[in-house]
Amino acid sequence: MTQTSVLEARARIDALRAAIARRYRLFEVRRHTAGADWQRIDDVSEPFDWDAPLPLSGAKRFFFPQRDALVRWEGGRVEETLPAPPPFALFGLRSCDLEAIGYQDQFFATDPYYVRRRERALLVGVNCTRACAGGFCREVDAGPFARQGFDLNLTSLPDGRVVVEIGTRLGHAVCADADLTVTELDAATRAGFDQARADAIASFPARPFVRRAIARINAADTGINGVDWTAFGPSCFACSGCSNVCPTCSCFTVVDEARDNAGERVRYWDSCLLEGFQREASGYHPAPRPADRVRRFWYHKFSDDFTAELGRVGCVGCGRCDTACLGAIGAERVLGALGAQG
Amino acid sequence: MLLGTNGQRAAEIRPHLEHPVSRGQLCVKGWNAAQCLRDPARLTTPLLRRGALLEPCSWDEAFGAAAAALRAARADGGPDAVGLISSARATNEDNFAAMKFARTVLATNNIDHCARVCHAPSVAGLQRTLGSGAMTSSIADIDRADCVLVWGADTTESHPIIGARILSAKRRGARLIVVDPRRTRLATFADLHLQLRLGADIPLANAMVGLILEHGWEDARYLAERCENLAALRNSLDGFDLAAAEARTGVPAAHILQAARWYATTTRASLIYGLGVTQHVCGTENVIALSNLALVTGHIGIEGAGINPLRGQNNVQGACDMGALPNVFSGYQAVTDVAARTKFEHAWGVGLPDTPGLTTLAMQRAAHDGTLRCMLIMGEDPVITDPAQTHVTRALADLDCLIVADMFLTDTAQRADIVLPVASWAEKDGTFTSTERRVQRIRRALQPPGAARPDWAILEALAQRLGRSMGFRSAQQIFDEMTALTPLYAGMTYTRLDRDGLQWPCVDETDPGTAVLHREQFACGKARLIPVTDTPPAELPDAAFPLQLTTFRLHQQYGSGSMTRRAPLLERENPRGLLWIHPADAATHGIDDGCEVVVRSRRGEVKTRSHVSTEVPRGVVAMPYHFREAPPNLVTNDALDPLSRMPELKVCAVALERCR
Repeated sequence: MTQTSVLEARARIDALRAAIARRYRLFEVRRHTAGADWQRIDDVSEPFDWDAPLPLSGAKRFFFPQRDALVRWEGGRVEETLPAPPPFALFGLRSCDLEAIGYQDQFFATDPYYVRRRERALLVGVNCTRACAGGFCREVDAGPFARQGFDLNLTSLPDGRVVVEIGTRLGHAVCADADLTVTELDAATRAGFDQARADAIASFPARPFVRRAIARINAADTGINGVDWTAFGPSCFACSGCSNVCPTCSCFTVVDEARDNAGERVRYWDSCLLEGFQREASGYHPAPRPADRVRRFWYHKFSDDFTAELGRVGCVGCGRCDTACLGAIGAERVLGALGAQG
Repeated sequence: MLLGTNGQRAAEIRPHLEHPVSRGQLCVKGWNAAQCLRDPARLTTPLLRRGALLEPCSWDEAFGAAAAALRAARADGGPDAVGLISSARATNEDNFAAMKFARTVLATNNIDHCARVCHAPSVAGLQRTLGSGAMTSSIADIDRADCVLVWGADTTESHPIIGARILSAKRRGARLIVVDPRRTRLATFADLHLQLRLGADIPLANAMVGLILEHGWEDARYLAERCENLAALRNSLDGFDLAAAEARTGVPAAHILQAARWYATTTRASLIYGLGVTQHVCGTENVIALSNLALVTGHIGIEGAGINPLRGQNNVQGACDMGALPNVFSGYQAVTDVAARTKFEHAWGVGLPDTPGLTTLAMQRAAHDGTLRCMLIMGEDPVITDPAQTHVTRALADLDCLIVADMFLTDTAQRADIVLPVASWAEKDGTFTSTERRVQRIRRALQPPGAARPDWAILEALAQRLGRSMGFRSAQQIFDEMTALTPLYAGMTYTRLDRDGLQWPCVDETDPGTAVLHREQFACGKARLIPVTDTPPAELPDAAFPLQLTTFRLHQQYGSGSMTRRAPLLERENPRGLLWIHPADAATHGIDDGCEVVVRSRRGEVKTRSHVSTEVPRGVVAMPYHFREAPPNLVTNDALDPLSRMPELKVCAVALERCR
């Protein structure tokens, strides 16, 4: 464990939030009539919602928005529209989303639009102390307790105390602002923390099929082609929901939006499930059938061909694609079918 | 669906996890819905024709010109020399304002909208049989069905959220029967696909009803207690011949029998249908045939069942409900009904016209004949979406003045004398009524671009210019006036609609709305069984035009594409116009995949590209209608259903030739 601080009561968390809000625009997940979403918090006297569900729209839009202007021109004048947001804090990131941000940090490491936003962000995690409905983070090493990728990470213990892990100097600085004392965990607190983690893990239903399915996708002799993907093809509506809600998906398309002599070059989220994504100018398509595109999507999520470069599988087990998919072929359903096959 | 904004820009679309229908899901059109909002081609000022050019002008000039044109047409030809087309994409408030504008300011019942070319036969047919022309169940009700019979509806493409729900019912174990001439995606999942010939819906439905009565699978108690006219129906099917039905429909007798048995003997059996049923010269009778089928089996008025026309546009249900139709005020109150008319006259303080007005196509014909002089078209693009395009363009050219209000300079707007820029769904307050009769709020998230205004505000300003203000100052005020005059909506307020909306009928402020219609009794008391007989398509293939053309929609596009084709990801998905053709027909015509081909009918010709596929049967070719580059409406038939004035968009005879 990294440096820690222990708060005697959950209520003390407000001092931390207030300290953060002095330096950063504070965003937290709030429940409203349309579900739960990241919202700007102007008034930190509103209590923090420890039990807020995982929002269907993840945190990636803070760094890689659906629509991102890259260049603007008017007449002969061209300017790069690099973002310069004021510093902002995402307070309450779950471990799956922290893992996903770490994954995208590598993918976008040299992308100035992503990096300029990312370097202005403070990431505050909150460990999940019990399972959410559709998540299987524990099967893909993405939770329920975060291991890395946070500036601060909070764990609410059953006795009402909160363990604050400090991941970075930024995290340290806001703890100092909030007058939190940095301490080593004593043995009893440490045991309480370990027990909370064990309880959290145990609260997830076991899904052994996930590891079996990933093993099949990576079978030495056949790889991804050892799985029969044809049955999944007709179920794909090509709605792009899976890739849009996926916190690790990063594909985009670039278009010019222009009229007369002025316009913008913009990038939009793209999706490899769309037919046009891989179609070549000649009309040739390397993944001509929907089943080929479904296979390609899961290949990129789970194949060892990519874990070497990005350090982990491309799925963090958040379960969002299972909600968004019109054809019931989100991660859990697909892995379930694969893990049951063969 | 949630729209995220960044200043005055639409930044993102987010699914709505708690919505009772979508439950966190969106189709690809939903995910890409924001991209047309700030398209550089949005109209931002009114335009006025000066010679060959449409030139920007002020609202004052535009209203002045529009008022003068409307006055001149009325002075010349009386109130019925003008006509108004309203929009199924606009809000209930816009549509209510349009119908009030037509009836009070213009003093005509010449008002219609695109329901004429989608579900006018449902309104006409189900009104006759059940007393109410809308989905009798709810979308969530599909979750409770044990048998789903989908007839002429390509739900996974045209209504993906509903299609997904049907597939989920199938995975749960419900039986799925699909009736469609094309092998749709849904058909590939079905337990039974009845691949009937184009225009053979009545003989197929009648055969199923005949078999049901013959085998005693009908719901005798339901028929006795809740329906009338069974004897006539029985008589009409007396001596019906299954072998003849097989020969006529092209569906094996065993499959007809199986479908009839499954549908009739399952208590919770839902019948869902689409434009494959309505867009025929016998569209209303097709609907009545399906209504007979649902009634003899007792499948209306209970959970998990119903007869459910799927409306195509975001607010086509609402546009009908609001009375943007030539024969009814809001809530289907007939203009010929003295009591209803008196109520509206009293509320509005003006005498109202008492004879039904002209439908869309009748207005076009009247324009051609010279009796209709001026048309105001709000948010529709009939040049692309109506049949027999050459007739449409000629009719519009024959008008003294064409006024078009739209977000974009559509093919129709390009022909206008006055063009008015309108606010989009994201730029105004109001309500939409979904296909399941759910009235829901939309809320303004952005300023309209430039000078654009909501339809209702344009109509109010124009009314004032004509010296007859409608007194409208806000969307909410219009809604409140509408609910006071419309019993179906009487219990609704913006406050009550706030979260999940309400399904009509909702008659007072304590009414929770209605998920399933006709539970205790039908809207018309007892349901009417009405015998219908086979009416073949108006145009059958012959030596000169040996193939049948049908039309359909693609998952990625909406209507004429004026909005969806501005989304780069959607536009990338499909070539601009395609003709689906069976491999055997392709071989006969020397056509390979991707060839340029000419499709000819008695009305015109269109160039497009071939897509060789077994999704269509031999002898049938199919075209989506979203693409102005290759509009099938250059060749479609404008023969009309006499009961609903619906043109036969789903079938006509064509000849095919490869371009050399």
